[in-house]
Amino acid sequence: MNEEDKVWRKALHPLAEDLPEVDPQLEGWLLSEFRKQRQSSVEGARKRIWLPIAFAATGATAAAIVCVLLLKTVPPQKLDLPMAQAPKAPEIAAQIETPLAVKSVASNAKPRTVKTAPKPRAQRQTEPSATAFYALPYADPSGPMLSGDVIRVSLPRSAMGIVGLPVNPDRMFEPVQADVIVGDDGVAHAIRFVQYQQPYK
Amino acid sequence: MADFTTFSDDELLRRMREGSESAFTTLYQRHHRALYRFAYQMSGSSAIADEVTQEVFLALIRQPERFKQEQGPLGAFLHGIARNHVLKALGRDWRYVSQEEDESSMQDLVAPQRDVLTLLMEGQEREQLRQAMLSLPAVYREALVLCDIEELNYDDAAVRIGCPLGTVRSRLHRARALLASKLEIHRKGAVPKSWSYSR
Repeated sequence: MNEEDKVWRKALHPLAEDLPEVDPQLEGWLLSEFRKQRQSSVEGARKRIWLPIAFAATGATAAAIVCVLLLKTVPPQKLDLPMAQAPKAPEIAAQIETPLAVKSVASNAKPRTVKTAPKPRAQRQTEPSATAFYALPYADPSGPMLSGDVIRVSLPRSAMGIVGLPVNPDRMFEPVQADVIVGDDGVAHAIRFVQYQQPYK
Repeated sequence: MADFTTFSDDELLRRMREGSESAFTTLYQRHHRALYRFAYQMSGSSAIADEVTQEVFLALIRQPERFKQEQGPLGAFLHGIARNHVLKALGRDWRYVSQEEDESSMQDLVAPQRDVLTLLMEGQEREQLRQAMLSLPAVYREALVLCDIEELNYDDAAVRIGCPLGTVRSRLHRARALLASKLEIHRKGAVPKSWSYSR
Protein backbone atom coordinates (compact mmCIF):
# COMPACT_ATOMS: atom_id res chain seq x y z
CA MET A 1 0.00 0.00 0.00
CA ASN A 2 1.50 3.29 -1.05
CA GLU A 3 1.06 6.75 0.42
CA GLU A 4 -1.71 7.63 -1.97
CA ASP A 5 -3.69 4.60 -0.87
CA LYS A 6 -3.29 5.58 2.76
CA VAL A 7 -4.50 9.09 2.11
CA TRP A 8 -7.53 7.92 0.19
CA ARG A 9 -8.44 5.34 2.79
CA LYS A 10 -8.19 7.95 5.49
CA ALA A 11 -10.20 10.40 3.45
CA LEU A 12 -13.00 7.94 2.74
CA HIS A 13 -12.98 6.39 6.18
CA PRO A 14 -16.06 8.34 7.30
CA LEU A 15 -18.08 6.40 4.74
CA ALA A 16 -17.20 3.14 6.46
CA GLU A 17 -18.61 4.40 9.74
CA ASP A 18 -22.10 4.87 10.97
CA LEU A 19 -23.69 2.53 8.48
CA PRO A 20 -27.23 1.27 8.99
CA GLU A 21 -27.53 -2.25 10.35
CA VAL A 22 -28.98 -5.14 8.45
CA ASP A 23 -32.63 -5.87 9.21
CA PRO A 24 -32.53 -7.86 12.49
CA GLN A 25 -35.43 -10.04 11.35
CA LEU A 26 -33.49 -11.23 8.34
CA GLU A 27 -31.52 -13.86 10.24
CA GLY A 28 -34.66 -15.44 11.66
CA TRP A 29 -36.34 -15.45 8.28
CA LEU A 30 -33.31 -17.02 6.61
CA LEU A 31 -33.17 -19.62 9.35
CA SER A 32 -36.76 -20.60 8.68
CA GLU A 33 -35.94 -20.85 4.96
CA PHE A 34 -32.99 -23.03 5.86
CA ARG A 35 -35.27 -25.35 7.85
CA LYS A 36 -37.76 -25.57 4.99
CA GLN A 37 -35.00 -26.35 2.54
CA ARG A 38 -33.56 -29.00 4.85
CA GLN A 39 -36.98 -30.58 5.25
CA SER A 40 -37.60 -30.69 1.51
CA SER A 41 -34.11 -32.10 0.95
CA VAL A 42 -34.76 -34.90 3.43
CA GLU A 43 -38.08 -35.73 1.81
CA GLY A 44 -36.53 -35.54 -1.64
CA ALA A 45 -33.74 -37.87 -0.61
CA ARG A 46 -36.23 -40.30 0.89
CA LYS A 47 -38.24 -40.30 -2.34
CA ARG A 48 -35.12 -40.70 -4.44
CA ILE A 49 -34.18 -43.76 -2.45
CA TRP A 50 -37.56 -45.48 -2.36
CA LEU A 51 -39.19 -44.60 -5.64
CA PRO A 52 -36.93 -46.66 -7.91
CA ILE A 53 -37.15 -49.58 -5.52
CA ALA A 54 -40.92 -49.30 -5.31
CA PHE A 55 -41.25 -49.02 -9.07
CA ALA A 56 -38.95 -51.94 -9.70
CA ALA A 57 -40.74 -54.09 -7.15
CA THR A 58 -44.22 -53.25 -8.35
CA GLY A 59 -43.16 -53.54 -11.98
CA ALA A 60 -41.80 -57.01 -11.35
CA THR A 61 -44.95 -57.93 -9.45
CA ALA A 62 -47.11 -56.64 -12.25
CA ALA A 63 -45.15 -58.57 -14.85
CA ALA A 64 -45.51 -61.72 -12.77
CA ILE A 65 -49.25 -61.16 -12.43
CA VAL A 66 -49.58 -60.67 -16.18
CA CYS A 67 -47.77 -63.93 -16.80
CA VAL A 68 -49.91 -65.80 -14.28
CA LEU A 69 -53.09 -64.41 -15.74
CA LEU A 70 -52.02 -65.33 -19.24
CA LEU A 71 -51.48 -68.89 -18.16
CA LYS A 72 -54.91 -69.19 -16.63
CA THR A 73 -57.40 -71.43 -18.38
CA VAL A 74 -60.05 -68.81 -18.78
CA PRO A 75 -61.34 -69.22 -22.35
CA PRO A 76 -60.05 -66.17 -24.13
CA GLN A 77 -62.12 -64.26 -26.59
CA LYS A 78 -60.69 -65.11 -29.95
CA LEU A 79 -59.60 -62.19 -32.01
CA ASP A 80 -57.99 -62.66 -35.36
CA LEU A 81 -55.77 -59.72 -35.93
CA PRO A 82 -54.54 -59.81 -39.47
CA MET A 83 -53.17 -56.37 -39.23
CA ALA A 84 -54.27 -55.31 -42.67
CA GLN A 85 -57.85 -56.55 -42.26
CA ALA A 86 -60.78 -55.64 -40.12
CA PRO A 87 -61.32 -57.78 -37.03
CA LYS A 88 -63.77 -60.59 -37.29
CA ALA A 89 -65.40 -60.55 -33.91
CA PRO A 90 -67.52 -57.45 -33.61
CA GLU A 91 -67.76 -57.64 -29.81
CA ILE A 92 -63.99 -57.58 -29.57
CA ALA A 93 -63.74 -54.88 -32.12
CA ALA A 94 -66.05 -52.79 -30.00
CA GLN A 95 -63.54 -52.97 -27.20
CA ILE A 96 -60.83 -51.56 -29.35
CA GLU A 97 -60.84 -47.84 -29.25
CA THR A 98 -60.50 -45.87 -32.42
CA PRO A 99 -57.95 -45.31 -33.76
CA LEU A 100 -56.23 -48.51 -32.77
CA ALA A 101 -52.61 -47.77 -32.29
CA VAL A 102 -50.57 -50.86 -31.62
CA LYS A 103 -47.20 -49.26 -31.37
CA SER A 104 -44.24 -51.17 -32.74
CA VAL A 105 -46.18 -54.42 -33.03
CA ALA A 106 -48.03 -53.28 -36.12
CA SER A 107 -45.19 -51.32 -37.58
CA ASN A 108 -45.41 -53.19 -40.87
CA ALA A 109 -49.16 -53.11 -41.11
CA LYS A 110 -51.29 -50.44 -42.68
CA PRO A 111 -52.97 -48.05 -40.28
CA ARG A 112 -56.34 -49.45 -39.43
CA THR A 113 -59.30 -47.94 -37.74
CA VAL A 114 -62.40 -49.60 -36.47
CA LYS A 115 -65.25 -47.23 -36.92
CA THR A 116 -68.10 -47.41 -34.51
CA ALA A 117 -71.40 -45.65 -34.75
CA PRO A 118 -71.77 -42.57 -32.57
CA LYS A 119 -73.61 -43.32 -29.41
CA PRO A 120 -75.94 -41.27 -27.27
CA ARG A 121 -74.25 -38.98 -24.79
CA ALA A 122 -75.61 -40.75 -21.74
CA GLN A 123 -74.18 -44.02 -22.95
CA ARG A 124 -70.81 -42.53 -23.81
CA GLN A 125 -70.40 -41.16 -20.32
CA THR A 126 -70.35 -44.61 -18.77
CA GLU A 127 -68.04 -46.15 -21.38
CA PRO A 128 -64.50 -46.97 -20.55
CA SER A 129 -61.77 -44.81 -21.94
CA ALA A 130 -58.57 -46.50 -22.86
CA THR A 131 -55.05 -45.68 -23.72
CA ALA A 132 -53.54 -46.74 -27.01
CA PHE A 133 -51.99 -50.19 -27.14
CA TYR A 134 -48.38 -50.18 -26.10
CA ALA A 135 -45.94 -52.82 -27.20
CA LEU A 136 -44.63 -54.76 -24.25
CA PRO A 137 -40.90 -54.43 -23.76
CA TYR A 138 -40.06 -58.03 -24.52
CA ALA A 139 -42.37 -58.32 -27.56
CA ASP A 140 -40.69 -58.69 -30.92
CA PRO A 141 -41.60 -55.60 -32.87
CA SER A 142 -40.03 -56.78 -36.13
CA GLY A 143 -42.79 -58.87 -37.67
CA PRO A 144 -46.53 -58.33 -37.90
CA MET A 145 -48.74 -60.35 -35.58
CA LEU A 146 -51.08 -62.42 -37.67
CA SER A 147 -53.68 -63.25 -35.05
CA GLY A 148 -54.12 -63.17 -31.33
CA ASP A 149 -56.43 -62.80 -28.38
CA VAL A 150 -57.41 -59.81 -26.31
CA ILE A 151 -57.71 -60.62 -22.63
CA ARG A 152 -59.10 -58.24 -20.05
CA VAL A 153 -57.08 -58.39 -16.83
CA SER A 154 -56.86 -56.40 -13.64
CA LEU A 155 -53.43 -55.11 -12.58
CA PRO A 156 -52.01 -52.78 -10.01
CA ARG A 157 -51.63 -49.29 -11.40
CA SER A 158 -47.89 -49.57 -10.99
CA ALA A 159 -47.92 -51.83 -14.08
CA MET A 160 -48.58 -48.70 -16.14
CA GLY A 161 -44.99 -47.77 -15.47
CA ILE A 162 -43.87 -50.74 -17.60
CA VAL A 163 -44.87 -48.89 -20.75
CA GLY A 164 -43.76 -45.51 -19.48
CA LEU A 165 -47.13 -44.11 -18.41
CA PRO A 166 -47.09 -41.85 -15.35
CA VAL A 167 -48.07 -43.50 -12.10
CA ASN A 168 -49.27 -41.66 -9.04
CA PRO A 169 -47.15 -43.12 -6.22
CA ASP A 170 -50.06 -42.77 -3.82
CA ARG A 171 -52.29 -44.99 -5.97
CA MET A 172 -49.78 -47.48 -7.34
CA PHE A 173 -51.41 -50.43 -5.62
CA GLU A 174 -54.94 -49.66 -6.77
CA PRO A 175 -56.27 -51.96 -9.49
CA VAL A 176 -56.66 -50.89 -13.09
CA GLN A 177 -58.25 -52.78 -15.98
CA ALA A 178 -56.05 -53.64 -18.92
CA ASP A 179 -56.43 -55.40 -22.26
CA VAL A 180 -53.53 -57.60 -23.23
CA ILE A 181 -53.01 -58.76 -26.81
CA VAL A 182 -51.65 -62.30 -26.80
CA GLY A 183 -50.41 -63.72 -30.07
CA ASP A 184 -50.88 -67.29 -31.25
CA ASP A 185 -47.36 -67.94 -30.11
CA GLY A 186 -48.55 -67.35 -26.55
CA VAL A 187 -46.53 -64.19 -26.14
CA ALA A 188 -48.18 -61.05 -24.84
CA HIS A 189 -47.46 -58.40 -27.42
CA ALA A 190 -49.23 -55.27 -26.33
CA ILE A 191 -51.22 -53.79 -23.52
CA ARG A 192 -53.61 -50.97 -23.05
CA PHE A 193 -55.12 -49.61 -19.89
CA VAL A 194 -58.82 -49.01 -19.50
CA GLN A 195 -60.41 -46.54 -17.18
CA TYR A 196 -64.11 -46.42 -16.44
CA GLN A 197 -65.29 -42.86 -16.21
CA GLN A 198 -67.76 -41.88 -13.58
CA PRO A 199 -71.09 -40.85 -15.07
CA TYR A 200 -72.00 -37.21 -14.58
CA LYS A 201 -74.42 -36.61 -11.76
CA MET B 1 -20.76 -28.94 22.04
CA ALA B 2 -18.55 -27.75 19.19
CA ASP B 3 -17.54 -24.10 19.00
CA PHE B 4 -18.54 -23.28 15.47
CA THR B 5 -16.88 -19.89 15.50
CA THR B 6 -13.49 -21.57 15.31
CA PHE B 7 -14.38 -23.59 12.21
CA SER B 8 -13.29 -22.63 8.74
CA ASP B 9 -15.86 -21.53 6.18
CA ASP B 10 -15.46 -24.78 4.28
CA GLU B 11 -16.08 -26.83 7.38
CA LEU B 12 -19.10 -24.73 8.28
CA LEU B 13 -20.49 -25.07 4.78
CA ARG B 14 -20.03 -28.84 4.91
CA ARG B 15 -21.91 -29.00 8.19
CA MET B 16 -24.55 -26.65 6.89
CA ARG B 17 -25.14 -28.94 3.94
CA GLU B 18 -25.57 -31.77 6.42
CA GLY B 19 -28.34 -29.75 8.03
CA SER B 20 -26.61 -27.94 10.89
CA GLU B 21 -28.44 -24.75 11.79
CA SER B 22 -25.58 -23.58 13.98
CA ALA B 23 -23.20 -23.84 11.04
CA PHE B 24 -25.54 -21.73 8.91
CA THR B 25 -25.97 -19.16 11.67
CA THR B 26 -22.23 -18.92 12.14
CA LEU B 27 -21.68 -18.39 8.44
CA TYR B 28 -24.36 -15.72 8.43
CA GLN B 29 -22.82 -13.95 11.42
CA ARG B 30 -19.41 -14.12 9.83
CA HIS B 31 -20.27 -12.71 6.43
CA HIS B 32 -23.48 -10.74 6.49
CA ARG B 33 -22.03 -7.43 7.63
CA ALA B 34 -19.41 -7.25 4.89
CA LEU B 35 -21.99 -8.15 2.25
CA TYR B 36 -24.46 -5.64 3.60
CA ARG B 37 -21.80 -2.93 3.79
CA PHE B 38 -20.72 -3.56 0.22
CA ALA B 39 -24.29 -3.49 -1.05
CA TYR B 40 -25.05 -0.34 0.90
CA GLN B 41 -21.90 1.47 -0.23
CA MET B 42 -22.64 0.54 -3.82
CA SER B 43 -26.32 1.41 -3.83
CA GLY B 44 -26.74 3.97 -1.07
CA SER B 45 -29.98 2.20 -0.19
CA SER B 46 -30.56 0.16 2.94
CA ALA B 47 -33.53 -1.53 1.24
CA ILE B 48 -31.34 -2.76 -1.61
CA ALA B 49 -28.63 -3.76 0.85
CA ASP B 50 -31.16 -5.81 2.87
CA GLU B 51 -32.49 -7.45 -0.26
CA VAL B 52 -29.03 -8.27 -1.58
CA THR B 53 -27.97 -9.77 1.75
CA GLN B 54 -31.11 -11.87 1.79
CA GLU B 55 -30.59 -13.07 -1.78
CA VAL B 56 -26.99 -14.04 -1.13
CA PHE B 57 -27.87 -16.27 1.80
CA LEU B 58 -30.91 -17.69 0.05
CA ALA B 59 -28.63 -18.73 -2.78
CA LEU B 60 -26.32 -20.35 -0.26
CA ILE B 61 -29.23 -22.21 1.34
CA ARG B 62 -30.80 -23.38 -1.89
CA GLN B 63 -27.75 -24.08 -4.01
CA PRO B 64 -24.74 -24.61 -1.78
CA GLU B 65 -23.28 -26.92 -4.41
CA ARG B 66 -22.60 -23.87 -6.60
CA PHE B 67 -19.65 -23.04 -4.38
CA LYS B 68 -16.50 -24.74 -5.58
CA GLN B 69 -13.71 -24.70 -3.09
CA GLU B 70 -11.05 -24.76 -5.77
CA GLN B 71 -12.36 -21.51 -7.27
CA GLY B 72 -11.64 -19.43 -4.18
CA PRO B 73 -12.79 -18.75 -0.65
CA LEU B 74 -16.44 -18.71 0.36
CA GLY B 75 -16.28 -14.98 1.12
CA ALA B 76 -15.36 -14.22 -2.48
CA PHE B 77 -18.12 -16.51 -3.73
CA LEU B 78 -20.72 -14.76 -1.58
CA HIS B 79 -19.37 -11.41 -2.62
CA GLY B 80 -19.73 -12.43 -6.25
CA ILE B 81 -23.41 -13.18 -5.72
CA ALA B 82 -23.87 -9.90 -3.88
CA ARG B 83 -22.11 -8.04 -6.66
CA ASN B 84 -24.37 -9.55 -9.31
CA HIS B 85 -27.48 -8.59 -7.36
CA VAL B 86 -26.23 -5.08 -6.66
CA LEU B 87 -25.33 -4.41 -10.27
CA LYS B 88 -28.64 -5.87 -11.38
CA ALA B 89 -30.39 -3.52 -8.99
CA LEU B 90 -28.40 -0.58 -10.30
CA GLY B 91 -29.30 -1.33 -13.89
CA ARG B 92 -27.47 -2.84 -16.78
CA ASP B 93 -25.34 0.07 -17.96
CA TRP B 94 -22.53 -0.83 -15.62
CA ARG B 95 -21.42 -3.59 -17.96
CA TYR B 96 -20.62 -1.36 -20.85
CA VAL B 97 -17.45 0.44 -19.92
CA SER B 98 -15.40 0.26 -23.05
CA GLN B 99 -12.07 -1.45 -22.74
CA GLU B 100 -10.47 1.49 -24.45
CA GLU B 101 -11.78 3.85 -21.80
CA ASP B 102 -10.70 1.47 -19.10
CA GLU B 103 -7.16 1.18 -20.36
CA SER B 104 -6.65 4.80 -21.28
CA SER B 105 -7.54 6.03 -17.84
CA MET B 106 -3.99 5.73 -16.61
CA GLN B 107 -2.77 8.12 -19.24
CA ASP B 108 -5.67 10.55 -19.34
CA LEU B 109 -6.21 11.14 -15.68
CA VAL B 110 -3.76 11.89 -12.97
CA ALA B 111 -4.74 11.61 -9.35
CA PRO B 112 -4.82 14.77 -7.26
CA GLN B 113 -1.87 15.56 -5.08
CA ARG B 114 -2.07 14.48 -1.50
CA ASP B 115 -2.38 17.94 0.01
CA VAL B 116 -5.01 18.92 -2.51
CA LEU B 117 -6.93 15.76 -1.73
CA THR B 118 -6.79 16.46 1.99
CA LEU B 119 -8.11 19.90 1.36
CA LEU B 120 -10.88 18.48 -0.78
CA MET B 121 -11.93 16.06 1.87
CA GLU B 122 -11.72 18.47 4.77
CA GLY B 123 -14.99 19.90 5.74
CA GLN B 124 -16.94 17.61 3.41
CA GLU B 125 -20.06 16.35 5.03
CA ARG B 126 -20.29 12.61 5.08
CA GLU B 127 -23.50 12.74 3.12
CA GLN B 128 -21.96 14.94 0.44
CA LEU B 129 -19.09 12.53 0.18
CA ARG B 130 -21.46 9.62 -0.15
CA GLN B 131 -23.53 11.36 -2.78
CA ALA B 132 -20.42 12.18 -4.77
CA MET B 133 -19.34 8.58 -4.61
CA LEU B 134 -22.77 7.28 -5.58
CA SER B 135 -22.69 9.47 -8.65
CA LEU B 136 -19.66 7.61 -10.00
CA PRO B 137 -20.18 4.89 -12.61
CA ALA B 138 -20.73 1.58 -10.87
CA VAL B 139 -17.52 -0.09 -12.00
CA TYR B 140 -15.41 2.78 -10.66
CA ARG B 141 -17.45 3.02 -7.49
CA GLU B 142 -16.92 -0.68 -6.94
CA ALA B 143 -13.15 -0.30 -7.10
CA LEU B 144 -13.32 2.59 -4.66
CA VAL B 145 -15.59 0.72 -2.25
CA LEU B 146 -13.46 -2.40 -2.22
CA CYS B 147 -10.03 -0.80 -2.11
CA ASP B 148 -10.51 2.46 -0.21
CA ILE B 149 -13.51 1.80 2.01
CA GLU B 150 -13.42 -1.95 2.61
CA GLU B 151 -9.62 -1.68 2.46
CA LEU B 152 -9.00 -4.85 0.49
CA ASN B 153 -5.66 -5.17 -1.23
CA TYR B 154 -5.60 -5.02 -5.01
CA ASP B 155 -5.25 -8.76 -5.42
CA ASP B 156 -8.33 -9.54 -3.35
CA ALA B 157 -10.28 -6.81 -5.08
CA ALA B 158 -9.32 -8.27 -8.47
CA VAL B 159 -10.55 -11.70 -7.36
CA ARG B 160 -13.84 -10.29 -6.15
CA ILE B 161 -14.44 -8.17 -9.21
CA GLY B 162 -13.24 -10.95 -11.47
CA CYS B 163 -10.85 -8.88 -13.52
CA PRO B 164 -7.06 -8.51 -13.89
CA LEU B 165 -5.04 -6.60 -11.32
CA GLY B 166 -4.20 -3.87 -13.84
CA THR B 167 -7.88 -3.24 -14.45
CA VAL B 168 -8.47 -2.76 -10.73
CA ARG B 169 -5.64 -0.28 -10.57
CA SER B 170 -6.84 1.70 -13.56
CA ARG B 171 -10.44 1.73 -12.36
CA LEU B 172 -9.39 2.83 -8.92
CA HIS B 173 -7.20 5.54 -10.35
CA ARG B 174 -10.01 6.83 -12.50
CA ALA B 175 -12.53 6.56 -9.67
CA ARG B 176 -10.35 8.66 -7.39
CA ALA B 177 -9.82 11.27 -10.04
CA LEU B 178 -13.53 11.45 -10.80
CA LEU B 179 -14.43 11.67 -7.13
CA ALA B 180 -11.90 14.45 -6.57
CA SER B 181 -13.33 16.24 -9.55
CA LYS B 182 -16.86 16.01 -8.17
CA LEU B 183 -15.77 17.17 -4.75
CA GLU B 184 -14.03 20.09 -6.32
CA ILE B 185 -17.29 21.11 -7.94
CA HIS B 186 -18.86 21.06 -4.51
CA ARG B 187 -16.22 23.35 -3.18
CA LYS B 188 -15.92 25.50 -6.21
CA GLY B 189 -14.49 28.80 -5.21
CA ALA B 190 -12.73 27.39 -2.20
CA VAL B 191 -10.37 25.29 -4.20
CA PRO B 192 -8.67 26.80 -7.24
CA LYS B 193 -9.24 24.78 -10.36
CA SER B 194 -5.55 24.40 -10.87
CA TRP B 195 -5.35 22.38 -7.64
CA SER B 196 -7.47 19.56 -8.88
CA TYR B 197 -4.84 17.64 -10.73
CA SER B 198 -1.11 17.64 -10.63
CA ARG B 199 1.15 17.13 -13.59
